[in-house]
Amino acid sequence: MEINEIRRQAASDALRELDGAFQKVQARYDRKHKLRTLLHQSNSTVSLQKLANHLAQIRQNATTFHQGALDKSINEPISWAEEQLELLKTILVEARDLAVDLRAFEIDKSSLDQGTTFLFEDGNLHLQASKDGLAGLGKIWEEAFTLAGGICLRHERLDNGLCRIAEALIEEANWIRGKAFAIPSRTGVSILPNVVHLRFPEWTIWALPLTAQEVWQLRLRSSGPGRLSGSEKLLEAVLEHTRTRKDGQDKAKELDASAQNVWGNADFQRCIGDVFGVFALGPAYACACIDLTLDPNEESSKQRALSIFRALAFVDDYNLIQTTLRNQWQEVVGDLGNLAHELWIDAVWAFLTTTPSGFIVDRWREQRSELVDALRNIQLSKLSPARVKLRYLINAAWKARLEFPAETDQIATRCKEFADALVTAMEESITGGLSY
Amino acid sequence: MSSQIAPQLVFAERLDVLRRQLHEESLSVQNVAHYGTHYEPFADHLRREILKCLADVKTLVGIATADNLHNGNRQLTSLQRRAAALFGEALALKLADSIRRLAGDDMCVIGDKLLAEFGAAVTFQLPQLTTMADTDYYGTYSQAIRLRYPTNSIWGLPVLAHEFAHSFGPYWTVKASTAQHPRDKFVQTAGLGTPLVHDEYFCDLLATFLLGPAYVCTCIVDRFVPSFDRDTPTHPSDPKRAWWVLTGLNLLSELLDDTDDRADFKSISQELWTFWDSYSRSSGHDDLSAVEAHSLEVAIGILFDDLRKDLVLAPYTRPRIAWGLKADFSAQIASNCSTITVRDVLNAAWLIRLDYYKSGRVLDSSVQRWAVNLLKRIC
Repeated sequence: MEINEIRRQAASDALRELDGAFQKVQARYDRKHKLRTLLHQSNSTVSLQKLANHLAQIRQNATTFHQGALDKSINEPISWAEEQLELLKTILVEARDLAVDLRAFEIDKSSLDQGTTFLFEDGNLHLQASKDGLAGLGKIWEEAFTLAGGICLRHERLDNGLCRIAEALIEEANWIRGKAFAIPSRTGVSILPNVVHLRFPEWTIWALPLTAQEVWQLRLRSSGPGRLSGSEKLLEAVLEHTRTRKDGQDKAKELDASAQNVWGNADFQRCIGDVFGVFALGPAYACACIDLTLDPNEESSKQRALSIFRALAFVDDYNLIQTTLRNQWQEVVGDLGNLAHELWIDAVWAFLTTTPSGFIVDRWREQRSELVDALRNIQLSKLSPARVKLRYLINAAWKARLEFPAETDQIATRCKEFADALVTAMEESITGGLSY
Repeated sequence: MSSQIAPQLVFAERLDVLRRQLHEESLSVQNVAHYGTHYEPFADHLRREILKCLADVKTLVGIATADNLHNGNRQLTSLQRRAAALFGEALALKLADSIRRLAGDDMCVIGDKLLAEFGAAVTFQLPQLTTMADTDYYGTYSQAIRLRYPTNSIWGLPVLAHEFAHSFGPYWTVKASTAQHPRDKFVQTAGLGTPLVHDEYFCDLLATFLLGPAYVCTCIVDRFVPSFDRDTPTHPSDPKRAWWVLTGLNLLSELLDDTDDRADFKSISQELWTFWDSYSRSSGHDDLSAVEAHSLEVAIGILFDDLRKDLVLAPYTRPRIAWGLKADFSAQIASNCSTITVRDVLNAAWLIRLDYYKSGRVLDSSVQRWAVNLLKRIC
């Protein structure tokens, strides 16, 4: 048998195993959840209290019938039944208590099937196109295990509930079609549509704004009706908007001339993703980047920082935070350098202002002081989930952290608590699962 | 028999005509009360003023002789002028109900509500009434405030703050103070022009104090003109008034506790300063002289301090609500009316309007429609 034939067979088997693996993961969690359901249903279907009452009635009737003290042959079985009943009650209470964390599987079956089908089809396409069946399948395999592992981590609440908060934040930004599914991950950007990897340090409330970069990348990779990819559609939209602006024709020509070299470049797109991050999630995005992730020793990070400062400069209200972050960054990086793609950044920002995804500065002005006070003084009950959005809450947390650094831990705890409450309130109107 | 007309007879005749007119008007004004309880306090006040005038007229009966006729005529002329003002107020009050019904009540109802807010802010118990006329005006005798016709726009409403200040000013007293009547002290001693001019400065500052950016925006963007650069016997020049209200807004911003809110107010003030400077230069006019600016600066500091210390509930320091309303407008979502005031809506409307200008958009009717709908819900 030829080597390629063997490898193709191995790859095909592996893909089939992959398909089966997700079914097993889902089945496992379904069984656990069923156990919880049964235990909790037992509370209503099996009335141990009634049973205890009946036993007591039997004892009373027997006592009456035998006019006083019961014979050992009658007393012992009744006493034994009473003891066993007490033991059963104790065990059931403990079992229900332990089962409370067994939650329903977070992705519904059809959505999980769609995700795995995407991987399976992608893998098969690769098989058909490639001589060496195993080469390149690594990426799909990695994605599959990241997805499976992420689902398990999330299901076991090892992400501390941050993934669902990230999803709600992405939904608020209103930038991608369908609902996103966030999973903790060690790897780079997902190849699956609408799956967002939360990479370290994004497992904290402070780093959640960084999901905006992932969302930008998702949109670039998206494909929908029509012959153009998500990236091409965005490019066309930016150019078209530039053309329609006053004095925009020349600028659009200049952008068009450089698009072929620039638009597909990953570093460039990360800078543009940063512009989107500031636009959609406000100053908190800038804080998370500058204070948590950007490496002052990397040239690409320097360009990202400059892009972020440029974006902040578009909004008067951000002047103070821009100055603060710029000073912080300059302390570690020394020479700030020069922004390479100013024209593109300006054009993208102008285009973004025509979309509904923007961070509403007026709403921020309305709520910032109240939110900061609440986060510092544990007066979260005064805030109504109906009025507050996650974006403003997280921005308030960053503002409070920068102004009162000694209270960072308490602010994070309270922010997380209220974010959980907000997401719970939102989830009532959100349909579950991935959708494509 | 002499064919000469006796001056004393003419004097007595004129006196009698005025007396009868005042008497009839005092009875006629009572009918205004029948338009509704809303008008009753104004009719009562006006009637009292008419009766005072009538009493003064009666003191002249029988005193006219050949020797003191000149004095009598002088007093009669003064009373006739006073009576003319009273009759004008009586006419305005009688027309108020008809005008409000025929020309559309909406703005007047909103105006009444705004005046009530001002009254509550300065704990001023006198009732307030809005009607329409050819100019914005506060009628001292009827105490009715006129909005400039046509009154189909929210953008003219902030002027009510100035007219309210005319109404409130004379009644403003401060207990346990060296100057129990700070407005009177200012009007008499400010050193910026005539007492009437001083009163205009007082009203501009109190209006800024009560209504915040909305009043200043109305003045700077809609009303003041750099080429009106001379004081008149009754009004300061527009450049001086512009300086005055803009500085007032800066002083008001210092009352805000929150540093971010303060910065927002100041940035609005800065935008308006920049606009006014540019408007002035393009009209070929210079800034105020250093001497003029210094005089104003001293005077405004003293007056603002009096306002700040006594009228503690009055200043408009609620920008967050206005920002929230602006955000609601942008997002096209319904606002919660339970806690917002007319002042908030007017400020929000102006913030939206400033945004239109900054982004180069033409102001359309959507802002007016939104504001009127919201104001109707509040009222």
